[in-house]
Amino acid sequence: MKYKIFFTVLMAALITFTSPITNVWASDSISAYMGFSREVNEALAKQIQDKLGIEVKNITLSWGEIWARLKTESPRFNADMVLSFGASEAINGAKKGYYEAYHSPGWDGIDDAFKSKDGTYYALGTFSFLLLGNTKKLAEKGYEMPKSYQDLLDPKWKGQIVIPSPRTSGTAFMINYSFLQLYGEKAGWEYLTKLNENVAFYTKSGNAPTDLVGRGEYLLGLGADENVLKRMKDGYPLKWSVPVEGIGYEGNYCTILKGTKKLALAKKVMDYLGSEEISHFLGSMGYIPPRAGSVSALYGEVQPKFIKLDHAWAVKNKRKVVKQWKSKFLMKETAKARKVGDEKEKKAAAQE
Amino acid sequence: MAEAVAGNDQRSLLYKIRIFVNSHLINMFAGGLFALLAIFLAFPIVMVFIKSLWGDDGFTLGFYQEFFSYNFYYWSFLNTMILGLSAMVILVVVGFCFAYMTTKGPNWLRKPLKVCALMPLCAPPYIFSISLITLFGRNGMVTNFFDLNFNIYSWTGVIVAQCLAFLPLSYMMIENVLNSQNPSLEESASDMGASEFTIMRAITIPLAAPGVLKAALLVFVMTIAEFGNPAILGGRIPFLAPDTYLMITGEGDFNMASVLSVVLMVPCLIIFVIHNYMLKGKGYTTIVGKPTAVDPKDMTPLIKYSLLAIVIPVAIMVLLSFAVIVMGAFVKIVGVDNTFVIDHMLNMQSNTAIFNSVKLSLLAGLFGAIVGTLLAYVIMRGKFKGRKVMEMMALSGFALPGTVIGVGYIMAFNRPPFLLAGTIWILILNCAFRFLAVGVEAGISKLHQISIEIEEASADLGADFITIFFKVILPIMFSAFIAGFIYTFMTTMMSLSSVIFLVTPGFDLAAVYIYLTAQLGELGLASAATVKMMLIVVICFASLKLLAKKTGLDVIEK
Repeated sequence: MKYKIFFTVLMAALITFTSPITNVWASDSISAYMGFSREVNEALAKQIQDKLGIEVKNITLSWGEIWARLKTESPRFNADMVLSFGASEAINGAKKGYYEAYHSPGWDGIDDAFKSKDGTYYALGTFSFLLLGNTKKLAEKGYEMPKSYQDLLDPKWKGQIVIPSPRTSGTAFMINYSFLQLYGEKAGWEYLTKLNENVAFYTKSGNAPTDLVGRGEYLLGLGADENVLKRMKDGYPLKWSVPVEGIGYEGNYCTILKGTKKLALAKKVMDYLGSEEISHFLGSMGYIPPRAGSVSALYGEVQPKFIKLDHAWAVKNKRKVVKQWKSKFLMKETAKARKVGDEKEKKAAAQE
Repeated sequence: MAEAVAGNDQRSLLYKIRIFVNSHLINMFAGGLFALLAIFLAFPIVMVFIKSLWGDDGFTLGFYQEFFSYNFYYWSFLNTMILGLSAMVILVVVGFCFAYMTTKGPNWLRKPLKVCALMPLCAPPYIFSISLITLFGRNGMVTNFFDLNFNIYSWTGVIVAQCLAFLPLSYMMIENVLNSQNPSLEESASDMGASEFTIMRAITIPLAAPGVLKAALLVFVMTIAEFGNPAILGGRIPFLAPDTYLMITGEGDFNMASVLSVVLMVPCLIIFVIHNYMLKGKGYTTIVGKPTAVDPKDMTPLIKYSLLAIVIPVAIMVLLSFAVIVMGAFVKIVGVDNTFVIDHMLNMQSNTAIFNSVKLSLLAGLFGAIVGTLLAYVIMRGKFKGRKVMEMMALSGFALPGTVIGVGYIMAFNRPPFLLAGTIWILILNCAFRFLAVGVEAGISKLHQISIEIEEASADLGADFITIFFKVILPIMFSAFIAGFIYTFMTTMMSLSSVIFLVTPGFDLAAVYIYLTAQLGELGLASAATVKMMLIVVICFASLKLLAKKTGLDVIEK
């Protein structure tokens, strides 16, 4: 009966390994879908744990991913909070009643632009996109960093630019509508079409261009400013600039999900998120925080030039813009498909 | 007197229960297993079908219409097929060369080549895109060294990465076939003066053909379903598997994702049918008793060198890829700043992710192996209708793309009556049922070898079913149990395509962690996590093997 010995040892190994599974989660913990860049998520979770003693079990997801999860999981969410996603997710989710309304005293004294009226969502800060370049490779080729977005259309950059794809990336959507609002819708799409000629490919994540450019795979990129500071400190030969036209920006929203069993803890976390300390912390990570007096470590005292943006328009037209982008740069559609798509669009609009 | 009667009654009641259990146990098992299969394998797939036909306002074919009217989807489908076919052709050739060299080649080469061919097993399939970028990217080490102008974000990159990733699969299956050929056939041919080339053409390849074909089909299914490499290296080329993933994670469009899943499932199911009906009974059994050990012959130089010309570059690629991963784990930014650091290795989050993976894999492995073995037994020895259906269901797991099952699971188990989302159970069940096929197949073939007479004989000698089960059946099935356990364990550790939809906050898995960090471009962290994972897999495997050796059960040696 040698197999019995074998079996016993196997079972013993199994039991020792898996016993922690039956343990109930430590009571002072909440779980969160987090949509900052990964290192910021980890640092923020650690900050909250150190300060409040509440463990934040987190998973790093893109905004689109968080939104997809909320949509499937509603009304039984598998997390207690969302820490950071975009305006369209925050606003549309609030409309669908996904979030707990809570007027957090921790957020008193913060500009109303960072809060929703009914207390369903708050903005932890804003981030932007930047023009990124690889200093080493640019010097090798003898190219200057472009000053304006128009310079990016120069044929010499053909196949040298990487941009995130608005299908998956919140940053990419921001980049897209920033151009649409900078140049106007028609001219904006024309600009993007021309830019498309020079784009090597569209990345899935808004943070990916930082890395691809940093490693010298491509010369230039448009990408989120989130991890630029960290990458430059890490030693990547990176360079960022704000083109003369300015850059777009978008809020990093957070909410408490409705139906959470840890409402009291989630409220505590929410109060803390409005504090001076968190503002300072996010500022040190390169975000532009909501509390006056906290400075972004990336941009410094002087705020960069921003493109004037109408976020309400962006929220309303997100589906349409993404669809247009897809049909322009991803797939050619037949006339019939356009009709089907339009009908789908109308229905979706009617629903919302 | 009365007491004795009462006692008798009691005993007879117990006896009756025992008799009942004895005669119906197998049917009870069958019922239970059928329910499990229906809930955890068929139900999610049905959900995917329904979702692809059911829009916000009822039944519609609109989503399929959309699929057929955008050429993007058409290209995506076509690309997927091209990828599957080219990987299949390349891997069959390369796998055959490797298998031939390790079974008939010079002795001193066998072991190293075998190690090279199996190495990709202990890392997730998509790590090859990481190493290919580091090596052959536009700023890659090799690219810079030879000053090449080479674009890895292209067809070449995707195909090479997929081929490297699935080399072990094709190698193992083909080697298995070559190993089981009776060498005396080739021996006698060679004695009668046939050249090695003739032997290869007239004996080795025809005899191996069914097995090779089986390997080819499996490679095809696996390459089109795995989305890591095409997602990272695909650039502007659309593929179905990553598109399904993006449809959900990016656009939250479950209807279109379901349509893509159904489309991806079609070729897989066709292959499944081919595999089940056309290949059944076509295996040539050439084992008569134990194959006699024959001294390896020297290979004909022409064949040897032409095979080596294929094998050596591939082996070098595998070794290089792993070298880069190990290097990436210990330097600051591989290829940019090659100073030694230990930070990546010390990252805690990847440690917990790996720990979670091991935990999950052990549980899924155990669960899958138990269910698989029981299923094999019930299918082979049961006397009820629908056994064929059960077998088909159990084996279909391998043909279903992971993405599809993952999508099905979120849709099926997020609401009552099966509210499993967010628990570890959804992950365990998902992995256990997806990888059931190997355990079941191994169990069935084991039971084919053992005549039912042994069981009948013990029954005649008075053993009841429960005794027989523990004393006869379990020992017979044990190697199948282990095969199922190991397969499920390994694949659960590495698989990404379906668990990525199911992971929850606080329960990160290693494969998902590596994929996400790699996609964010944090190659250091991704490499370090891969290295740690490889170590764990090797340790687990070695200890299992040691255990088997110590207990005299050398079943792991395939």
